[in-house]
Amino acid sequence: MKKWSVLMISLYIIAAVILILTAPKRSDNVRILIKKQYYSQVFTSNSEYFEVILYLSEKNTFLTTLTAVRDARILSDDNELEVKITAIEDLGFVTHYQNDDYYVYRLKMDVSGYSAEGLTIRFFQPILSVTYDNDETINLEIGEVYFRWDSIEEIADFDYFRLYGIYGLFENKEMMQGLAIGFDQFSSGDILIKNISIGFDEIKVDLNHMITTDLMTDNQTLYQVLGDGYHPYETGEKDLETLIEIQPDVLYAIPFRYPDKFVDLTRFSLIIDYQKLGEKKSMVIDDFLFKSHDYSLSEDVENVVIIDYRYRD
Amino acid sequence: MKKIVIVLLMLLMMILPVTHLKADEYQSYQEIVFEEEGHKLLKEYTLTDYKNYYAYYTKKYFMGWRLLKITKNEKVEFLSETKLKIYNNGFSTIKHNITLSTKEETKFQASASGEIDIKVSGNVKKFKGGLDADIKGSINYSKSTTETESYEFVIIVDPGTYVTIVTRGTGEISNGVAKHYLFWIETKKGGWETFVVTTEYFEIIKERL
Repeated sequence: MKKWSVLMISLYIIAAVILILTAPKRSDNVRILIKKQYYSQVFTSNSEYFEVILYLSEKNTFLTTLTAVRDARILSDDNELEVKITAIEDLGFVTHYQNDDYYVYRLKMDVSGYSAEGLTIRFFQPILSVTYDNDETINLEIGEVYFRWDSIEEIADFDYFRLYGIYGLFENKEMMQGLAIGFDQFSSGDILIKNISIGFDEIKVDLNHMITTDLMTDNQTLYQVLGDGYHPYETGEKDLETLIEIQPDVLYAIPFRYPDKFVDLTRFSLIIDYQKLGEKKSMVIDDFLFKSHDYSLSEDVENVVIIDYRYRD
Repeated sequence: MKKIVIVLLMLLMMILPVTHLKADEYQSYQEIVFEEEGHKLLKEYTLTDYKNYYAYYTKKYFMGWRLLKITKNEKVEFLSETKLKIYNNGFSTIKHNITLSTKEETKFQASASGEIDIKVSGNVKKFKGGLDADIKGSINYSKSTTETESYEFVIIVDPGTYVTIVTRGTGEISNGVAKHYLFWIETKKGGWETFVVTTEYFEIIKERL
């Protein structure tokens, strides 16, 4: 009987030791990554949402628990917008960055409470500040943000008949080199396009170097067609505004100029300022996904912000 | 004369692509072009191609699938199907609030011929009978990270016009043949192909009716 008791106790001790040794160790530190991007969005209905992608080194933390979120807002020096996080979705895959694996999450935010027609907010270098029930606040640098609340209405003067992004390699990176767009005119009288914007002053839609797409060939990028003298990072020309008379049935290739760094543009809205018989008007094109997002991180991805969150002792 | 007809028919059979293909959606894309020349889609394999590829199997194996890769992770450009088409036959402009989404099932696609089969379970496509792991292990397959995404887009359709949204993109194709053995007896053989979408580009076209 004594032998059995000793044996049972020994087995219990061995099992306990194995459990302690093999139990997953809870990390004291959670690393959060976010890729700074340009977000240009027009909200046309209450069902549209704003989303950002987060990369976390740990799963199952309060940082991705929706019910633990107490408050969320987008903040910049000049503007502040309260947002409601409605979902934190695990995208179900792992991406590798600088020798570590990260779980990928999508934060969906409702911004429908601000439906004033034509309201625009430009956040310069904003942070998404998320406060949790445990009084912890995580400040995420998300990039640049342009929001517009507007209903997209028909324009009696003209419309576009074709629209797509012109992507190509520049300095070994695929970037949006320009926009292909053509216009149909519905009313008589010259229509002069003064400016096309995607919501950010530092990204120029360069009407001065607009060409027609028939000048482009399959094996040349837009920047190559424009010649060696054209550099997308040179923003020396302060005022790129001009007056372009639209020609029906012509498909234009309009190059983009960027601040002195690579910008990954996939989805954005367009605001076209034009003149008709001397009257200034605008046409808004809803944000369109020109290219699918790649949610994986690689070593050559730029503008990745790293935040280390340490649990309190 | 009869002999000539028979010979001609046999030649035709050798040249014509094999038709009994279990094809995925990408086979109906308007255009798929390999970046490098000299590659073929599985649907373009001829009987002669199959015969030549099977000839690489010079010995019999004890058990399991044996793969032969003909095209491995070759880059392609494609023009996909029209994602959306909206007509306005009326006399006034209509405004559409549409939800556009990229489908997970288009990210990884597969086709097979002969005695190789494909199993579809939800959004997941697999080659049947243990061949799936062999293929994915041999072609640097990684799960697509261009996840499903959807968003709303408002578009104006003028009277007497229609709007289409089309997809172009880049991807990778791998294909080849495979044979299955059981106790040194060949039990199955056929062709396999995988198509992985790398990037999709979207385009709006408005045309007159």
